[in-house]
Amino acid sequence: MTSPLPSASPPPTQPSPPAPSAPAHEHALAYAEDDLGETPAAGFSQQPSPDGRAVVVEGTCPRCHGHTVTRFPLGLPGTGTKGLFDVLTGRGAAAADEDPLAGEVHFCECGHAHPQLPADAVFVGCGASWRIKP
Amino acid sequence: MSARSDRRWAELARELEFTRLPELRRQAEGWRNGLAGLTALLAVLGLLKGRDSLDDLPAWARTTATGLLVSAFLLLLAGSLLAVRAAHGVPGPEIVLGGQALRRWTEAEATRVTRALARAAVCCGLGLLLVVGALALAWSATEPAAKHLVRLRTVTGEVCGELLSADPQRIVVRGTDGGADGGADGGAAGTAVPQASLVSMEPVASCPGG
Repeated sequence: MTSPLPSASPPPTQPSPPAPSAPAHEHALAYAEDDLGETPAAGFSQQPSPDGRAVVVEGTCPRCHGHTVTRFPLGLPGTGTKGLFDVLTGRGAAAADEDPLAGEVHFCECGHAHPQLPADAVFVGCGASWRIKP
Repeated sequence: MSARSDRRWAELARELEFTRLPELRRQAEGWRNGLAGLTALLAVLGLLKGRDSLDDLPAWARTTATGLLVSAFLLLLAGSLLAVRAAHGVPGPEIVLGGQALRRWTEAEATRVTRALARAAVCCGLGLLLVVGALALAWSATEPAAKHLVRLRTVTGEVCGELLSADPQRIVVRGTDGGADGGADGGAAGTAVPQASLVSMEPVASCPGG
């Protein structure tokens, strides 16, 4: 089933302008799967993709300071079993209305092959992950 | 939730973007098989079996058995559909394919599948019980095959019983109690009424005392 971007999806947000003294991208930083915990929302934004089939979250990686862009596509997670009763009662509502900026764990996707980047890494970046403070 | 687990969920969500069409086709295939099975079942029940097995029942038993069978059919149908839905799912709304959204969806989905399976089992169990009840009712309430009861009016009186034979000389009937019915030569062999003494003969639904 195709549907447009969820009506309740978060509106596009504009990133805060980088501070004049923003650190440069540390290309030499070795890959490490570090969980950085919660990160301030400043510097991150989300907006629908041009085709309306995804939500794009952009910002600056708090570890390597590279510009990271993550695309969250809309899609079927699998074979659901929601029936008419669930639809009528609103139980088991889909997560289409969720806010990926605040509800997801984000991974560095600066696109730079940091040293020691595993060959099969799904997220090409420095390996850091973080949540954004609501 | 550990960071390792978060990363695994995110990787799974990333993979889903590339498996969308095969997943839909697998789902459609499962539903096709389930619905084809149901259609075959209905064809066997409706076209081959028919309603002849209930014809021998008295009215109250026929009504009750029909109600039981209809209820059983609906329950079995619902149970089958619930089982197919639990096994193959139904196309649902799209979600934002992020790791945490996928994790929450999976947890909710596991609950829904468990619930659908439990309901399917209850429906099928109840349906089978109702079928067994209808069968038991049919066996216990089926009337014996209808006898060909006739009432003979003769010059000397009336004779009522099951018609055994008739020829140009006489008509032989047996009393509905299996014994004599007023005739001197009654009993298991029946009562012979000479054709010469016969005034009229008519079929009846029952005989007095029968």
